[in-house]
Amino acid sequence: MQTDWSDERLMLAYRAGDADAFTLLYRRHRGALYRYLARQCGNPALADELHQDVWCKVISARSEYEPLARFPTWLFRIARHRLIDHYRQHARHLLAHYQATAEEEGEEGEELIERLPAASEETPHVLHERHDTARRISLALAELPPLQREVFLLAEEGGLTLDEIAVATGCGRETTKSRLRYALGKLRRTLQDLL
Amino acid sequence: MSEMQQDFHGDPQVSALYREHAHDEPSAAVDERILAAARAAVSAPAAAAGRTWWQRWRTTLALGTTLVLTLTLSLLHERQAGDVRRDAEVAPPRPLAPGGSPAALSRDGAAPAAAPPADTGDAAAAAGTTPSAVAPRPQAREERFGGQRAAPPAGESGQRPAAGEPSRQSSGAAVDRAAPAAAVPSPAVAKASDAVPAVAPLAPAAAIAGQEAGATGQAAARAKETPALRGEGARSAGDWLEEIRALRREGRAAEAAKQLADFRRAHPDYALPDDFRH
Repeated sequence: MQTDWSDERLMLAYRAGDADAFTLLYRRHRGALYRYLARQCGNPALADELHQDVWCKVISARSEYEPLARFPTWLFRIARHRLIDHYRQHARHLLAHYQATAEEEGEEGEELIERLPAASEETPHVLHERHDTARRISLALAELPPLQREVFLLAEEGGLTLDEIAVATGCGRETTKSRLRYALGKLRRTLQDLL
Repeated sequence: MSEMQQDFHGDPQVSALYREHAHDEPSAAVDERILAAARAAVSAPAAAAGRTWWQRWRTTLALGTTLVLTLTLSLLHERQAGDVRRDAEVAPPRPLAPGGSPAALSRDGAAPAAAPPADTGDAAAAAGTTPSAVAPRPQAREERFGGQRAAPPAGESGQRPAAGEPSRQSSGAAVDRAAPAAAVPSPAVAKASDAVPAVAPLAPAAAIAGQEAGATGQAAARAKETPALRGEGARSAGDWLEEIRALRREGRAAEAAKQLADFRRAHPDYALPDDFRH
């Protein structure tokens, strides 16, 4: 059955014209991708729009799809590029964080990550949370620097490995590992009473 | 986080806490739009491909069909013309029986009078054989063309360019040679006798001779001048020559020479084979 198929096989089936394969693929990844986008942009409505854009890019790019990497890696890379496009158009101050990615490669990488500004508590996604614990988790995530938050979300929501995150974000593996370590450390400190 | 490499195990507690409370999902409307777009993207190319195929090939198919029809019609027309030409060239001569029926003979006399000057067809084909009819088999063509050729083959003159060329160059006495054609029996006469071998070389030259003879109208007069030779014309020229050859082979040279002389009188415009030209 198609339910047992891998993501890559489903995508190839969809490329061949099987719409049901896409439905399965979409149901597998819709939540994770949406949460990645929602927590990154902090706006559920905007997340809806970005989420739709990303999947439309997947649809339009199906004919060129080749299973050179795991499907989530490909999917979240598209999502990341869409986020950067959004920042380029509407939030250039956040884009600066992503553009600094290349410069972080080197000795000053981790120091630069430390200097990244924390997300504002007033971001819309904080207001979106209802549950107290969920609200606190969201708040803790919002407080993370964007690049640390991105690595954490790619690991948690996308299930990407360090290498895959490094490829998706265009960073080195060690940089990715450092970002993830910092993110987890901050979250642990913030959510210590919930653990 | 569970797929982190061995050198980095992450923080299972933080991961578990996050996953426990991470339940945000896109709205149903967004889901519906995305899935609809995915289905449309898959189904649209198929329809577009069908249109594209037809649009891409319909001109080629139309041209190909037109070409095939044109070639078919051309070949049919060519074959039809070739058959007519071949019938005229290969048509067997049909000498009158020595005791030809009066009705047939009367038709012989009537044919030239009724035939127009341009009658260069089958009547002319017998020009080289005096009264003896060297005419194509009209019934064969009538069978082939389904009775479309009920009229005498007057119109065939224009379809025999190959037969006409050598004859025009051969001699300036074509009018004289064509004289017997006026007395040549019509195709109806040819029908009267069967089982006569063909004399193929006769037909082309005779046809052209007939073309010119029809224009002059001297054929009837010439036919009257050689009534005595009608009996010799009872057999075909080819048969006669074969008989002469047989006489030669038997060593009866004198008799063969006499027969040849008679033959020359009976068929003055007949192009003798090489073995008789010495």
